[in-house]
Amino acid sequence: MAKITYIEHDGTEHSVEVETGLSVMKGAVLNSIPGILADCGGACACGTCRVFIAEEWRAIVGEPSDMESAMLEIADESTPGRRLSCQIPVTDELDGLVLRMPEKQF
Amino acid sequence: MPTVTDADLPTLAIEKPEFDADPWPLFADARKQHPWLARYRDGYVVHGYKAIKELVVRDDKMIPAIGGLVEFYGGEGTMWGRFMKEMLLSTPAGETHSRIRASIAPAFTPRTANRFKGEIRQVLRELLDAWTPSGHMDFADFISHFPVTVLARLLGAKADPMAVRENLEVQANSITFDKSLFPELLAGYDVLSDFVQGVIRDREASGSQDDGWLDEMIAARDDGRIDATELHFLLMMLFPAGYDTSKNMIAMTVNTLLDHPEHWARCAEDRAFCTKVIDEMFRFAPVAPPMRIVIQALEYEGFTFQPGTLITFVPAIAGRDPSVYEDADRFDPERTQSIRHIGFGQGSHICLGMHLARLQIEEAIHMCAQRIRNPRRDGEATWRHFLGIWGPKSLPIAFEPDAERPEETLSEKAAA
Repeated sequence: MAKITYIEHDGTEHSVEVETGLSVMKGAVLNSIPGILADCGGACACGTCRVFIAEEWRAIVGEPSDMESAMLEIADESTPGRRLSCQIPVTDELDGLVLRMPEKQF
Repeated sequence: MPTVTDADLPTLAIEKPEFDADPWPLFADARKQHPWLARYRDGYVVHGYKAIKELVVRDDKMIPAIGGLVEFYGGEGTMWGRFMKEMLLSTPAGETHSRIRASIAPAFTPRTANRFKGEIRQVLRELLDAWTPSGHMDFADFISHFPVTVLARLLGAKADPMAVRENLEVQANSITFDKSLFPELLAGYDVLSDFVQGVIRDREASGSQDDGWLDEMIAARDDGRIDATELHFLLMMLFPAGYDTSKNMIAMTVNTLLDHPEHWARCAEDRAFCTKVIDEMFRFAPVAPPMRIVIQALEYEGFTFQPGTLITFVPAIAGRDPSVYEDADRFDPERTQSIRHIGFGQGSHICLGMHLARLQIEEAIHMCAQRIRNPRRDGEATWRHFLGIWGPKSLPIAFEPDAERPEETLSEKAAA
């Protein structure tokens, strides 16, 4: 399990324990956390599970793949640390992860 | 748990034309008897927002229903039948479906779509130049030339796509279950198949154009991720999948904005507002109803749907679900209640071409609003079948033609 803190655009925080092996997106959906839609269910196809990784966690979470980067262009955002949460597998290393959600996913 | 066949449900005559022009009051009546489910001639229709979101993703119990048309028309053993059963739209979720989608996914990202913006605008420019000077048109006819031309250009087709366009109109009618159409469906398959074969042959002859599109799909075949038939069917599928859906959604948007001239005028000035308008349209009146066949008994909210049952999901009605949306029948692009529409579907079968479709629809509304000033109805609209790819069949309008703004052209050239 890893503790992940999801922060809504308005600052509301949700800290939950997420099973390792799931995706960060799934952790939000299973805990009914608003702000992540995941229309495609985790196939890197819709771009509606965007998150902004807190600066101190970016090196650990890593960079998006080419495919993920191409999908992230769905929104004209310049906020650093952008990732699709469906493409981040939860590992023990991510225990304590903090991320923010955008104002809108679409 | 009782089977759904024994349930006390409203029965809707959705095959009747009154549903085509204005289905919402009829579903509002049905909702009084049951909030999310109704029976119709061919099966069951799920129209509640929550029920669609939760049920349409049940790939463990249902498969896409398009292949069922083959049995109805007696098309087994024909290439048309094989295409209808094996193309991606018909492929059940699972290993093959995931493999094919993943192999071509890079060709359908927002980045790829954005690269095509100039070509999309050029096609619109040419069509608007040709159709607008008279000051009146059937908008549905006009816009039917748009997505098919864009697809043909993006694929580098040398053949005239208009023959394909006529054929797609025939294919769209297959949903009417009219057996006399069968010879035309078979002939239509040959037209589309030949067109696509020409596209592949030409690209193989010319070599890669580094377009991130057809090249990606051919590369997927060449390195064995998909086979030659899968590539052929994929390219064929792009036409029916990207034709009715996009053009009908644009025509549906214009039909709605004819009653909101202030929004139409703003669409000409404000590109970002067009995105809001289209988001709201995908809630207010989306055109594509996913259909599924139950393959294993499916239990939901006290009902059991038995194998073989046809379930049709109607996002167009879910977008007006009063348990989800406040004042759901009001069209408001500035709606602050941010509950995501389900117009592109959900889950593994979500529309593969949604990013390209969105861009085409938004650009079309922006440029049409600039060139078609003060549009008003010039006759009664006619409608396509509600449970097909829905939308206006004809939409006569009169308007004042306007020239494209030089600054738009200049900024595009500068960007290029």
